[in-house]
Amino acid sequence: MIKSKDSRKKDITKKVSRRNFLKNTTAIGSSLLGWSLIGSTKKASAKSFSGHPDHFGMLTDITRCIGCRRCEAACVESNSLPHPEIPFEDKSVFEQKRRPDEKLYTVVNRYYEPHWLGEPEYNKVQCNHCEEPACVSACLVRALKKSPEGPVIYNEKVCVGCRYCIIACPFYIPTYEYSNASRPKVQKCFMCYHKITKGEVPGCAGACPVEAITFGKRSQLIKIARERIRNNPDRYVDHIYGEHEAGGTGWLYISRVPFEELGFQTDLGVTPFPEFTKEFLSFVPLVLVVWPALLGGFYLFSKRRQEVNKTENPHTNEKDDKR
Amino acid sequence: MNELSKKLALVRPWIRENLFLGFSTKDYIQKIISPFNIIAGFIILVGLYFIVLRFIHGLAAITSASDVDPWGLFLSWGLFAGVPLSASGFVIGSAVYLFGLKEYRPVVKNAILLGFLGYFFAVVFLLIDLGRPWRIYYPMFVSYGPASVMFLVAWHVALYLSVQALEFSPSVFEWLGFKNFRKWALKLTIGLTIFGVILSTLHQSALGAMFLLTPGKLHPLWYTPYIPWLFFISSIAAGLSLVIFVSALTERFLKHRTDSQYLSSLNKITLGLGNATSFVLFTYFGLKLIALAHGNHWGLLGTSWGLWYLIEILVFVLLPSFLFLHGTKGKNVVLVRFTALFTIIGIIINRFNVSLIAFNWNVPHRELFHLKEFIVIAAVFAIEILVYRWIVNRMPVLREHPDYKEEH
Amino acid sequence: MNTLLEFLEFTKGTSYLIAIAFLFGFIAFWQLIYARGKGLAIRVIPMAILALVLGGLAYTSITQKAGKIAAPEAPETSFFSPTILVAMYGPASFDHEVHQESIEDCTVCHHKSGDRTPRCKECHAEPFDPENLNKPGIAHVFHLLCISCHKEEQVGPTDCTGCHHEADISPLSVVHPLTGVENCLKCHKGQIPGVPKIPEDHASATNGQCQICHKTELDEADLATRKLPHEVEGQEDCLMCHGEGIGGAPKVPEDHAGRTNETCQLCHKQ
Repeated sequence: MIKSKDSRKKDITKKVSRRNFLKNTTAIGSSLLGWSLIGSTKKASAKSFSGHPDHFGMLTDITRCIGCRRCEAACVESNSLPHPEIPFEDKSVFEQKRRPDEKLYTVVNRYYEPHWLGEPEYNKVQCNHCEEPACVSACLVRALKKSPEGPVIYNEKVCVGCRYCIIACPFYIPTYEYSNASRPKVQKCFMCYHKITKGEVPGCAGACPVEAITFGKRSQLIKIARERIRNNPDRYVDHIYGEHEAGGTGWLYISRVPFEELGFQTDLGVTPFPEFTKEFLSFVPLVLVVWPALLGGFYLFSKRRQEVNKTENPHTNEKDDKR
Repeated sequence: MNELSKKLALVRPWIRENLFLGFSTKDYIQKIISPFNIIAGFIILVGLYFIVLRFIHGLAAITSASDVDPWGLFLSWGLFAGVPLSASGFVIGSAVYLFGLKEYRPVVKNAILLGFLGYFFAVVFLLIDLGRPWRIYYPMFVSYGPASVMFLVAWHVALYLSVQALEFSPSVFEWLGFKNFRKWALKLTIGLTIFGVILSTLHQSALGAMFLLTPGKLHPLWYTPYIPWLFFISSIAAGLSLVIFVSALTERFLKHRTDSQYLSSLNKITLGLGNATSFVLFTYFGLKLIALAHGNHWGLLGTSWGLWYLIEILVFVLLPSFLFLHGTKGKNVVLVRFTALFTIIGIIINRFNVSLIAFNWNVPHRELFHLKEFIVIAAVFAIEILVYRWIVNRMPVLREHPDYKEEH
Repeated sequence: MNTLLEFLEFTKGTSYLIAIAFLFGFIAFWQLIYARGKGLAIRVIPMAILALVLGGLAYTSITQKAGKIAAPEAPETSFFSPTILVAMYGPASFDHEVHQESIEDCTVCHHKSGDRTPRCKECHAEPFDPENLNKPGIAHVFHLLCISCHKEEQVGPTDCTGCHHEADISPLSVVHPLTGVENCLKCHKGQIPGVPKIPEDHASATNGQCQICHKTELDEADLATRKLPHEVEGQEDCLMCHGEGIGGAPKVPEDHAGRTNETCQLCHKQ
């Protein structure tokens, strides 16, 4: 068909602009892709993260703890928590193993095995402020965050209350205010973040009369723990709990007796927990990018097949089509 | 004024025709009072009362959520079990629109409606279960946690709900008589179906991937890196089974809303879907075995948890797979429908296992759920059934709209 | 990026945005190739623009810092200053002579100082110095050194009151039981006549701290003798009958002068 000059011009301009458009999008698209690759090659081997330098941790020396529960009292006071019914001086609480809950960020439990010869041991339970926390990776609104200073902190202004963090924590630590209908919060130890940022020492560490809890830079605490173990090999089990467990925790423990006998979980492995969902998350952009072409292809293929069927059998009723 | 009064004059007959199904208001209200409606209404009232309690006194009022067990029946039923069953939308949708299997066209609108309602009520359950449900849009617009699998679930459920709404909209527009909107909505079908399959692949598997983060807490027989694939494949089986089962119910209870094409082709469709489901279930079984081998947990099969696991995969996966095959070979529609119900129960059991029963399996003194949760679920389920029935009674879901018949 | 999580958040976020931008680009592509008719530009251009915009967002939004995390509110000054703690536990009694006689070597306690016998405070700060963790704080070193030696040598006190003789604080006047009474400020702000008001120097104290010093004199046995012989419902106004001793009801004793109805049921329960 012979087109008029004008419409031919229109066709050409249409083709030219379409070509330009395709050129431009490919150029921009590939440059974006390149950018993202550059960003990721900075840390191509994503296996060696040492955390923010000079971040803080805590060391609990179980051999020193005398079960006086001053740490619990100091925690309640530092965080303006309601005073529990049973006073802190009451030792009868040790008859049952307790766990932190929405009103008590930390508890001390007493353990005793006859083959320890003599003394019961006390262990303080609270959030371990993991180096790569499962709860932080679980939070869909980044309400939980591993602060650069070290503690795992909580922003109640964005928390939706999905409680996936509680599902994720391998130490069963976070709890939720189920009885609060208007402003329920996730509750756990926050390592007195409001004090640390002012240069003070967390409540429990400051209150412990025997310095069973020490606050300082995690790297330094590990050295101190190793030194204590090395200087007193009879007094300590040769293991720092939290150095590598679950990818390393901010809270470290040294003990006289094996950790399993103190209620610690010793089968957590050394993989940081966010690694467990990393592979699946990588699957997502793959699907988003490949499925459209794949499914579009199926659609075009089936449409083409139908058209071929139609042209080959123009009089056949569609309904009689066998698969 | 004349224009307005003309339009207003049309409203009342429209309401009578389209909302009251042609009855006068008095007659309609009389029709509503049926035994089923009264029982459903009673359950719904009790459920609503408990929901109000939840919002006054917090979740502790109606759930047995504890420091260690944060999730209960609302999520296990509404989200984890509800979502795979709602896969009917994307499975039948892709079969008809992407793979060109036109013989399933009569059930596609029903499948999409079921999918849409399933997701919609999954969101309703979320609104009841979230600590601060008024912040449900936060992962979309306020604060992002892209390292979280739940972030994906939130986004995809929201997007997919919109996709399903749009996919179903042609039926709505046919009902309302908005011809142009309907034309526009139909144009989107292919794109929406493709997008729906993408989203479904991702969030069906993401619901399983959420538990990848809990290796010690989920029983090793159920914890496997293959969880996302297992969830995705079983969701296909769930969607297919739901369509088989619900279409059987429509044949029995909503016959007056179907047309002859639907009724005459239903048996063939049922057999075809049953055939497909048997293969999907068989594949799913194979993958479960691979997962077992991958974890090398054969020894655990001898424990009581192992027995429960074997029941789940042998009785509720392998057996239906063979029953479907037997049913389709012998053209036994009744057997296929029964097996579909069986499969649905099996999927629910599997999701309950992963999210509630086998999760935190080694924690002593667990209270799995509270009776009040059960009642709330029954209430929301009753609402779901009533809504489904309301829509099918009015919109062309099981039939073609007479005005548009020639287009198909 | 210092942590795996930061790396994950950045890479996942970026790849999601790029994937979504790609999706829109794909739609634009598809339209270009397969769609016919006019209005092509209307369909393609918005898609392409969306694709580019999202692609650009891929870097700007993720690299922006999230809003500052609000630190939890904390009281300005703690009621438990060192003076209060010292008042609670009191100084430890320490007999240097006894230790000099039984331990010949001075460096057992005055350690790490060669021949000198320095004062402990020379090296050990209060509470302790997080920068210098090898030197525990002053109170702690006493506990560490003293108690560990007492345990090992099986001589000398090993519990708190063994040295802190004044730690056994006599109950500071609480006339009613404390079980179930958690909100002291509800009554002791001075708003109820006859109920003592919290003194000024307790201004920074919070509810949880009262019971650390103020302990009740009453125990279960005491409460048993104060049981109510009649139901409370409908008769909440105790003073109506017991104020003057009307109708055989025992009159409120002298030492209960000034107490109001709210306080009766703290001791007198059914």
